[in-house]
Amino acid sequence: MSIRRLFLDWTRPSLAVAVDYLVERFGAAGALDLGGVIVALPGGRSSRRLLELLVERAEAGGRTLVPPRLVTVGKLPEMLYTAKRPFAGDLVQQLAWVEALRNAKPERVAALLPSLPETDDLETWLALGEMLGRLHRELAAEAMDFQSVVDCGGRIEGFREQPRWQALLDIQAGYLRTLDGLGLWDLQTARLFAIRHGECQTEDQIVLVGTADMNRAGRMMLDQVADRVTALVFAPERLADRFDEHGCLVPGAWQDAEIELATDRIEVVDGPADQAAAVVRAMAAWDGRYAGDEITVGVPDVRLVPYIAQQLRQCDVPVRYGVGRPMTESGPCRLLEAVADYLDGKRFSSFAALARHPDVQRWLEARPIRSDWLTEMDQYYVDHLPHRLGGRWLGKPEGSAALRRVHEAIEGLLSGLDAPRRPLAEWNPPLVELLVTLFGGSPLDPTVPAQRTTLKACEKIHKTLAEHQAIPAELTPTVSGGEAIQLVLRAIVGERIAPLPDRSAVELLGWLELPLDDAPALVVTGMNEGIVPASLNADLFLPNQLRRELGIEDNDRRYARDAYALAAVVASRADVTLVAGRRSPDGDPLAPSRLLFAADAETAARRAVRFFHREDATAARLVLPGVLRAGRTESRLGVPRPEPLAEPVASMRVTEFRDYLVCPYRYYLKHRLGLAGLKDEAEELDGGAFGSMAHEVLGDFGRSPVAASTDPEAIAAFLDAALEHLLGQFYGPAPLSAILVQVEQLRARLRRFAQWQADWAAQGWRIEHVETGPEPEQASLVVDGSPMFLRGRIDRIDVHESTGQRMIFDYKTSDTLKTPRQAHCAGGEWIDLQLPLYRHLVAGMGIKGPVDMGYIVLPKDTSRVGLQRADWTEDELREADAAAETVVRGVRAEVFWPPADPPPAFSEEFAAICQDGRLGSVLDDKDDNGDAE
Amino acid sequence: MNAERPFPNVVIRASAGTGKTFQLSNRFLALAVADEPFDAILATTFTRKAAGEILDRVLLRLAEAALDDDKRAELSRFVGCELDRPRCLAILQAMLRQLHRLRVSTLDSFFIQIARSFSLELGLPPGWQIVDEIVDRRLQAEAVRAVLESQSTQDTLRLMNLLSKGEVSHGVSRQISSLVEGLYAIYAESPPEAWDALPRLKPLAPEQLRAALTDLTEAQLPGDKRFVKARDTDLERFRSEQWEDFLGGGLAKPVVNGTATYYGKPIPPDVAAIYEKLIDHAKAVLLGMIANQTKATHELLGRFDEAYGRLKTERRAMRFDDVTRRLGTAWLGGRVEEVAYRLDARLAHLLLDEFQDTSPPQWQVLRPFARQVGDGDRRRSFFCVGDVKQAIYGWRGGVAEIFEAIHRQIDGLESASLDESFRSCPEVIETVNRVFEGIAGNPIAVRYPEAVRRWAARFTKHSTARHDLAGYCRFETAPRTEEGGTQGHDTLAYAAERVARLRDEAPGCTVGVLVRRNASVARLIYELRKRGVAASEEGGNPLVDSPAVELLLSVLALADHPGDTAARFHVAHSPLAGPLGLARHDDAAAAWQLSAEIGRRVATDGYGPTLHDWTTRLAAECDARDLNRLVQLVEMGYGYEAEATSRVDDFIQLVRSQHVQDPTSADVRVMTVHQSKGLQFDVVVLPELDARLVGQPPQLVVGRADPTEPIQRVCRYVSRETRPLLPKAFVAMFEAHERRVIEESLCVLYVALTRAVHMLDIIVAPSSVREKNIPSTSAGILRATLVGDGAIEPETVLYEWGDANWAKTLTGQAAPEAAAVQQTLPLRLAASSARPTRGLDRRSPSQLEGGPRVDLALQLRLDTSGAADRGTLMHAWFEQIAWLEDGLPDDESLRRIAEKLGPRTDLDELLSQFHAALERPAIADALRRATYHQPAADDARSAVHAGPEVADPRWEVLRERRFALRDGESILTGSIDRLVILYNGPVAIGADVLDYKTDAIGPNDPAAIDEKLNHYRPQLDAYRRAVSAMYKLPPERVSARLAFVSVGVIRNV
Ligand code: SF4
Repeated sequence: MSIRRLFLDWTRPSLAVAVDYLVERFGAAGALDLGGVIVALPGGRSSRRLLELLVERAEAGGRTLVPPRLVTVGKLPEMLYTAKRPFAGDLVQQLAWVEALRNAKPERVAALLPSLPETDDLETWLALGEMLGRLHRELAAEAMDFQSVVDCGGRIEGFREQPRWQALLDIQAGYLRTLDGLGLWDLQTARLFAIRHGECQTEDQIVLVGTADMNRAGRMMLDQVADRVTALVFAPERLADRFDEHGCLVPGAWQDAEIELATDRIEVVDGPADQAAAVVRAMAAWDGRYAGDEITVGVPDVRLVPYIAQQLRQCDVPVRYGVGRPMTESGPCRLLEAVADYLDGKRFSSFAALARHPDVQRWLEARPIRSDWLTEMDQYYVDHLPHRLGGRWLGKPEGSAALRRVHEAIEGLLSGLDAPRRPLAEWNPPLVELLVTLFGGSPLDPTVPAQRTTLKACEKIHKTLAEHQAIPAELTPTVSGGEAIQLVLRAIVGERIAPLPDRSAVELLGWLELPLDDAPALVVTGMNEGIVPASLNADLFLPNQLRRELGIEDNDRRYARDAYALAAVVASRADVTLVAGRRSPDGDPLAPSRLLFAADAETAARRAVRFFHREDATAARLVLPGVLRAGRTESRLGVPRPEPLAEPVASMRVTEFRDYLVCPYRYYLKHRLGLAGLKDEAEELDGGAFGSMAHEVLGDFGRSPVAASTDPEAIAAFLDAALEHLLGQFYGPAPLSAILVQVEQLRARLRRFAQWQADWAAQGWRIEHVETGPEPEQASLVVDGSPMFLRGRIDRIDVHESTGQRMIFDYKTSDTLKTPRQAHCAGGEWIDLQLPLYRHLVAGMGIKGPVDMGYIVLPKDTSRVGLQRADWTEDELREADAAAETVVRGVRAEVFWPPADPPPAFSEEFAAICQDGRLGSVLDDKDDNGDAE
Repeated sequence: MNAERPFPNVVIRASAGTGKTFQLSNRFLALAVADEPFDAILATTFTRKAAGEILDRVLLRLAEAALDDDKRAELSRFVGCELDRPRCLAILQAMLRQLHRLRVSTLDSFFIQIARSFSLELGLPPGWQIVDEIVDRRLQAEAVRAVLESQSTQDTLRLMNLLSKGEVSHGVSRQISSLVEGLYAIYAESPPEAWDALPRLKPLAPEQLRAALTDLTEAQLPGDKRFVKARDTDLERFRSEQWEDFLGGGLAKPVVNGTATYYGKPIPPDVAAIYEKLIDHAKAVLLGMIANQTKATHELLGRFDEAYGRLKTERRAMRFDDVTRRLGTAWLGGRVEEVAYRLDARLAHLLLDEFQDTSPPQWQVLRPFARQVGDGDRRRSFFCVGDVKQAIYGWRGGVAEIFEAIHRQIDGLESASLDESFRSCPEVIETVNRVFEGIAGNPIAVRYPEAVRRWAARFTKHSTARHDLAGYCRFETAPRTEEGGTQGHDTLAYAAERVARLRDEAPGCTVGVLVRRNASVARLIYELRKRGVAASEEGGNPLVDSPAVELLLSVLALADHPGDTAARFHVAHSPLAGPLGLARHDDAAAAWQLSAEIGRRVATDGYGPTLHDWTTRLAAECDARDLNRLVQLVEMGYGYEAEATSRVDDFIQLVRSQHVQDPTSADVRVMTVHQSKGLQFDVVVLPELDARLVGQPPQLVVGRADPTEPIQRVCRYVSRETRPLLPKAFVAMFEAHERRVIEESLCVLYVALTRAVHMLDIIVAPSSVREKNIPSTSAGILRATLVGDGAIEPETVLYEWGDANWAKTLTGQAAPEAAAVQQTLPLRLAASSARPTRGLDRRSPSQLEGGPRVDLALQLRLDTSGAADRGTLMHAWFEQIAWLEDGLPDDESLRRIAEKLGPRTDLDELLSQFHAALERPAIADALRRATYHQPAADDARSAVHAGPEVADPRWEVLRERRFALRDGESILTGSIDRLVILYNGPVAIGADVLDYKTDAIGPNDPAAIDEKLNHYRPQLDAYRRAVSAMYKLPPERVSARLAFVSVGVIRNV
């Protein structure tokens, strides 16, 4: 006896029709007892929906409902037999494959895998295991094994893959042996065993609802209980020959089938955002006829979900994507990832990421730690560029007090996981403890979305840990804490957390769920070739030709499935719009789906003309769906105007003048408001830090006994020692490697400096002052009758033993050499006033007499290390003073507006405030192509 | 159709605008018309966009031909076969049904398809993916770090010093990064021995050297002071190791040259002999240095490669060229058949577009296919189209000579060339002809005779089919820069001025401003926007061109860095200050709080919703453009979620680097000439032709035995002066390199000039005051042709051709500009029904146990005792019991039930526990029919005891009774362990719910039981509700009881 097929009306929603059928067949007065019925559906969502409809129907008819067992067709087999052995979990299966692969004869495996992964590369081994498992599962679902392929290949012209499949066959045998040895089975083996031994049985009635695509194993099992099975096929009777005796699609019959569909229901638009806009347009065209819960949006391409969700939210329409967010995006998973990353090497950057994890922050908040530790951590990084934290703390203790406590706390938190390698399941207790500590502080409320997410993720993690526990000792890998976490996360990839129900929401559904959806209004996006239908045009193991020969899922079957789905979708509702894009979210060109051409030749041709003609899509993009509306024709987001200063400026650093000359507004931000960016992304010393280090060393030198030495060796030796000392002091005993190299680069420059210094001293010059400046309010520039006090530290003042002449020096360590003139003047204007203003500082220090000025440069070309004398004339210096006076007047009058235009080249930290990007960035003006003057 | 070879193997040289794609689609269609299987045709091109266009073109032409007689006649002509309507329709339909089998793609994606099917053989890590540029850059940075970490400081220093010729710049990672960026491609494409190809000479031994120097010091020189002076200088240079100066001057130079005379006087042979020794030494040292530098470069790149490769394997990340290289080197040669099998297609027809841009590694993969289809089998064919004149991708590995070498690779190729433009007006084409027809005689170009000779050979006079187009070409100078300025910048500013005017003169026309350098693109955009011209970069600009986006980024920046006072100030002085609670930039406490809030929000809601919320708050202050950019930012936020890290900084960085086209500003597009390839504009402005034809010297120069072969030699760049010292092959390699640079410069000029439909505006700098000759630039070439000798004055039109008022002749083209004002699309939905049925929440009573909140510590307890399994088994056993009076299942069947649930070792013990439970009076009572005939104890009273008041009592027992019903806003569904219904006649009058609990409870621990009672109360209440609804019983007629089987206690809830 074979299965009973019933062809049911497809012009109404399938599930409603299915409910009618169930009521008619099983209903009685006052009762709808489906206690002895199993209803199998293609997907989870349709099961849930069917239950809703049954409840509603029972309630409306005043019947007491005993619901049926609802299963997805993939789970149906397990209701038909009793497995003789427990099932091996996913990871156990993968490990068994790995075991089989490792134990197979190398010379045979070579046909499959010319080179094996490194022995300890568990990740890659498992990935291979997973791949083999997938192949095994796919064939087994069709009641086949690798031997079937070997047999079948003989019938394919030019089939040269026997050796590979022989190897696979060996491995498969090994895999089954391994599981067997452990007293375990995999699902496929159990099903095949039940089929082979005719063990399928049930006392229930089985009703298949819209299961037009079942695998061979499933069908064979149903055959064994055929007298209890009814397949509801949603299609008119006249299409009966397109379905086989199981009510499944006959692929061949669908290839040339026409799908009734009006061309004007198809929209072909440009990119993903345009598809989303097309959804809004279609919904707007319904003009309020449907409520949110009567509308479904089909999203076969999950990448479009965010675009559609956003555009609908923008229209104040609630949306619900039942599939939900990937679990890997949940707090617990991101935490585990951050922890694993940190455990692997304990780098500062991973610490900084872990400490910023919101739940870690929250946990830290509950402890007695100053709340500004994040800023302290940034600053500590900027100052010391640590490779990792812990060990010796650098700088002043009060500068890292809070950070140290954070570090201690986190190290404590992870102490259980930071231990030697051990068998996988032994990591479970510390992992649970970590989760409980961070997330279990107070009970979680599953009706609050965020808490529900946490809960769901923890549940899944918990389940995975339980699976780890169940791995037979023979297969248990020995791993580090970080690897254990990676294995947990590996099991979670692909899991999603469904959002809480929202009854008023427009529902976003995947393609597979659409045929059984019953909303009267539908927009389907992503009607593009390769998405609907998917097709496989090359494969590592099972190319299409082989698939066809084996009778397993091939392109024809995929097409048939989707053609039927589309036909049913279109037939069953009042309003359908189909949308196809021309461009994927990655920018790849897309073609419309073949399904959109499933029409008579003439119609297909007309559609082709419409779809393949690319018009400009810009105009559509200008219309912004929804309620967001620009408030003005001219943006009010201006650059903030300077505000009056609280106190008049009484003193200025000599280096400030330059900043004012460059841009008065940025000067205001930097010096008057003291604003600064703060980041922790440096990979090595920047120019400033490199320079500071050089200055420190040279300062120490100037104060040292060898300051007057004429022996280059002695000077060099001192500089070396000072450099070494400062390196340790600034950057600790184990600095970043880049810094070590940089220090050597600096050392090379200092060596040449030693040489120069010795010569200089031999000429009679002695260092008189080092890093010195006037006392407060001792040096000033009198402008308009009142003094502007000047501040600043002069790197060094030398005096000549015999002439008494003095030189003021500034050390310059930038890579390229600039003379004082180049640094101070450009295009006939003063752009910096530092050296000229030093004259006033010196006067304020009570130093009288003629003073010369210059740079001691230490550029990358070490042959040029030495003195660069400033050669300004008295007239020029007077001009400089005048320029300084203008600056002082500007500062006093608080002239800080407008910002310089175009923006100066080094003002990145204020670029956002100054809206530098508005006109495009002209900062990067170095020759990037190497071919222009 | 040709009888013996229906589809000739052909190479088409197609000049700019002559319809390459059209030719390719002709061939494709001709093959289709001849019933060749579609999947035997492979058509490839270089960009995904172009591939999409080819496919569209093929289908569109076929569809149009099917519907329109004229188009059909035209198509028949092009495919050389008379087509009727049914035939067209049939072919079209067949093609549409096989859309998935049409192989029109980029070379890269074709290669990837092969690689995916051979990933095990190619040693690609399982699950590999192609990484995008941003991720790749991150990986590279990480690899550089790893290189630094993995080797000693001394070692790094040694390499750095070799590389930087002794200079000690402070940025180490930066330096390595830029080295890698520039040279890694060469490394990857060359065998190690190529880096060691420079022969090393033997320097003099120390004692020989000393002797030679002494000899020279004491040598008898002619009595000419100049001789002595030169000798002394030579010695000085030699001793201070200024090798190049030594070899290029003094007495050494004439000896090197072989003239051996100085100021007309012969150098004595014995002196010359000494010099020869020293020269050999200097050469040996110098070549040694070059060889060492080359090797050091290789070493460093090798270390990088190792770290980078490891990272890529670890992350399963591959780049396109990794795939190409593996395919090329690993295996393909003999396995074309296997490829056909796994790709499910026997490729018989190859159609290759833009062939001049093919790189040698790509050709290596293609060659076996090409050879196979070109092997004389008449059912196969080879077709390629390209234009060596447009070969401008040398920097990306393209080697145009492959195009020219193809005849050597495939036998019997026919060639054709296309020189009629379907794009440009006659004026533009004539200008192109003027420039390039005379290129061989162009006084600037002839400075590079070899390159120009080759280039000239490729150019044939162009013509145009577009005599209908009005046109105008202009060659003019920008103002001269004042002192302190930069001429290049001023020329660009002037060009911006011109564009602003052009936009008014030719409204609705597309304008392309083409430059050489990316930096100039940015500068031009700046200059144009300053003049109110909406300009966009090709591919768009990063979103930070909107101040509103910058503001949101500052808000986000605070999440990671609450101490960033600049960001604080930015937020505090914005409309978001109030909503975000940050009124003052110096309010550190508020900033910290905000920081934590943002971090949390982004983590729980995601970037998209968070940014959307802020956007809503900001919209009122925005103009249309800002709002548009904000919406795009929100979109980016939504798309980012999957790759989000725990650092907000990473997202900010992405926003700053990702280019996003701004749909509201498409007036004028600015791009490099490279990006303009394949595009056309009504007006083309060229403001940056003042670049030298010979650009900056490269770091490395490479040589191949044949353009189609792998790299054979690599050498650090050597200055022109030193080059004569190199072996001949190396000298030739440098010459070939320079020749290619010039050729490519000419290609760039050609591409730039041929983009215009109507108008070409060339803007160059005026002659500088110091100019003596026309400089060797693209502008110079144009000057020499179009203007002639002599200096050029600022702000002068030097050459004009055509109608300056061309734009006025356009009719109907002046489309009104898209209104920048934003429209919105309102969306109205019906009100939701009062009692919706879709998407109801589902609850099961067992979810309710313990109340609505979950204690994670309990939830996560890892059960090592198997308690959960034990509970399941106990329930299964209890399910067997209807009424105790009717008997128990025997142990045998109980064991069978247990087996189904999985093997266990404690079965005997569990069985005895089960029996013990049934022995406990309370439990046994609850399972007996008899019990319900009499009243029960108070603490375990059920609602189904029936005394004499019930006339016709009947009890029904249901086990594992499933139910589903509406419970307020949700569906309550589950199953009841044991449900006893009391009927009076046909009417249900009471029900008793019994729920088995297997919790371990100590004996005599009433407190524990009370606690459990509370814990399970919500669950039992739900059962009661369900039963009361199902049987329409008042709640008080439904009892709900817990049976603690291990201690034999039953309690009413
Ligand atoms: S598909 Fe059919 S023919 Fe091929 S191996 Fe399986 S049983 Fe044999």
